[in-house]
Amino acid sequence: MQTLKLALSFLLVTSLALPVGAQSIDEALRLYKADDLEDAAFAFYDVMQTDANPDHRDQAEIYLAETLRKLGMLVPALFYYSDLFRVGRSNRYYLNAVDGLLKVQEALRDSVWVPVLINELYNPDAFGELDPERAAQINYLIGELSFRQRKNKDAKSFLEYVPPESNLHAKARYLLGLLATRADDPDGAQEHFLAIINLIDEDDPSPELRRVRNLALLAAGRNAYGRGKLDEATEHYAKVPRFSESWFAAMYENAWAFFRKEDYGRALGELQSITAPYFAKRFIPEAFVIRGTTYFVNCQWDRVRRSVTQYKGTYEPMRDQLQAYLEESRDPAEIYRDVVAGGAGRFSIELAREVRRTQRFKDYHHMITHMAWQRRNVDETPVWKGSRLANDMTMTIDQHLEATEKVAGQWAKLRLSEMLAQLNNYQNQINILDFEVADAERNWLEQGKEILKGRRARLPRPNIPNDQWQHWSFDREYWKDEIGYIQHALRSECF
Amino acid sequence: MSTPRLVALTALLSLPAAPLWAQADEPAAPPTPVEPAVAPAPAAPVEEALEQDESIYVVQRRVYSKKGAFELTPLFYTSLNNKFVGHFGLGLAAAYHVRENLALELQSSVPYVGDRFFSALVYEVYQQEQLTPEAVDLKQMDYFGGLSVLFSALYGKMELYSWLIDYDFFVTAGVGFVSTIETCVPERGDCSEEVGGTGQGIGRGVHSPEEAGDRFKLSGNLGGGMRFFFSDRLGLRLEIRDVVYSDRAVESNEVTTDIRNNVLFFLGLSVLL
Repeated sequence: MQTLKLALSFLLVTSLALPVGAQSIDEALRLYKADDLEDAAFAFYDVMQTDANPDHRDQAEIYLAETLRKLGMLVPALFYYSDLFRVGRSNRYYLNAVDGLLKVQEALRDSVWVPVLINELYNPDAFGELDPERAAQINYLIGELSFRQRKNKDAKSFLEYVPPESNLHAKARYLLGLLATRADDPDGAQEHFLAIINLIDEDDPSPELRRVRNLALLAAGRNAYGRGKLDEATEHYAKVPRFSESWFAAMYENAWAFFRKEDYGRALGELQSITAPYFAKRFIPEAFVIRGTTYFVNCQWDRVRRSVTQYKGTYEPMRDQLQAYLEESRDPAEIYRDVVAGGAGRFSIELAREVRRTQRFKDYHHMITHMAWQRRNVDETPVWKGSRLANDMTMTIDQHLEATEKVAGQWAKLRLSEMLAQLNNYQNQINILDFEVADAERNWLEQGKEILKGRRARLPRPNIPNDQWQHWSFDREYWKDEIGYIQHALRSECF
Repeated sequence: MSTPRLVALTALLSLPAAPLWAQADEPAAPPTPVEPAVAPAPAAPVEEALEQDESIYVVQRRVYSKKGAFELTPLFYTSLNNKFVGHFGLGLAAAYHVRENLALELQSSVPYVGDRFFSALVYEVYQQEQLTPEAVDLKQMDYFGGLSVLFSALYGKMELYSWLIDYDFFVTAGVGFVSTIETCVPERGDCSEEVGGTGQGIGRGVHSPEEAGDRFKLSGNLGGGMRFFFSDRLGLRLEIRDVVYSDRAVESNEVTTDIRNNVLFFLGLSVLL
């Protein structure tokens, strides 16, 4: 208590005694309007620290936050916006602070700090006074946060409040679709996914909206596949635009759909496409499982064995290495850095790339690299050098950077653990395949059938739908424009 | 039927072929983490050899489709077998693609654009009276047009600096119509008295034959060529076509006839409408 009193007395004294050279709010505003932002930041900070008038201090703080945001110093801006936001609606700059926080969230692609803060101090009455797009952004952020926290009911409520006019509507619908899937309502989920596909044009100028549309196509394909509607699944997968981010996943998953439709040539063709050099270093253990299973049902034992051998040669060591890595105790930040460094020799680059390819990791990485830049910028801005403002900013950025690396690392570890579980699962499937093929070969030998195959004759080419299609022979030379159009000609060798 | 897809044509054009494609599997933002160099995976020749017996095809939607489209082609042409006479000029072709590999085409030279000429050989032989060419050999084709069928059974593609180019080979056959002009004989038809006697040169000028039958001929067209398409709309066309017709000339009551083969080379820019 004594310490607190002392601190308050010190604050009182420092705030009342205006030191020589201290800035006035008017001078700070003049610098701000003259676009001399670095000096303005310094001046606002000075006013905030020294001005006796609390209203001036609040004004200086909101302007300081605005100035820093304009300078790209997003984390310090976040700090000062948060400070005013925490005061509540009674502060006359409250709504400005909320608006600033949302702008920082967008620029920083922040899925951690702003969403948690807004969720913690959620004020529906005050937020209702915001611009509709900002209100939609708040609903989306809290909805997404709740979705991640598996608070499904909350997530649904908030996401349903994102109106169709909002840029975030499609993303909200996508999450609503996933929530419906969680609630075991595939029809409801499909409705959401199809709504997104209809809502966003394939050639929409916004890359983000096109990305969401492609994700919705993938999700619609998965959902249809899950309901056993294989033709519909194939149709959705085929609509994912070539060379888009989701295209690889569409072909990969479509292989299973073709397999289930017993269109084995096309199933193998999709797998052939995803192993093209264009997709080098992708994590594709399941491709070998599908390929092996396809050959198995066609009684081509030698080719099953080849798939099993390829899988074991590639993914068994990868699994062992990953298991050892995850079993060791590590700081999450170290895991994040290892992922960034392509596994750093501690686990496969395929795994690292698989983690890095996710939007969430890209967003974390964007935040962290941006924070690192902000940190350097503080040191390199001469006006701020050695000042208390610089010290405060450095401290804030360092704290956020450290914490964000930790969050990113924890998330990366979770993804790596999921991949380990997948590898264990596929390993079991490959082992079963290995056993089954040995058993099948034994049966054939007992029946006096030949199991050793020589070189097989080339089979006739597949049919083409009409003259809008062309045949090319595939000579193991991958042409970029042919990826996704590859088909195997396959004949069952079962007796 | 597929054709070898790059080698012949890149060699023909003497242009460096582009790499198959640029690797770009990561989006631009956020900044891509720097990766340590990774040694390339060792090749697996044994495995590769084992997989050679898989029957793999590409069944691909055409990049550029022609079916149902009109193709308009301004052409430059020049004759190739200039024994006594030669021609060059401009033409125009309008084709309708009934199918991807079949088209009907109307083709015409543009009258009064271009030139006809006697070859150097004519001047040489005129120096030696004994070797005067027959009159029919000196007749020049001043117009041709025709209706042809184009059939394309062979196709291919190539990539040039990440630009995919489709090409096809076609053969063409059809019927047409040509107009010819003959060398002047003094005081005959619209040729003056002075012609030939006043140093107008060996060619002695040309004029339209008096008899329409000697001027207008039915012809046959036979040829083949290659089309390159760079986009849904634009293409380049190279073609060699033989315009064949029976010709006749009357000079000093002497009638000479010949089956004329005018082998023409065409270069055109195709526009698909």
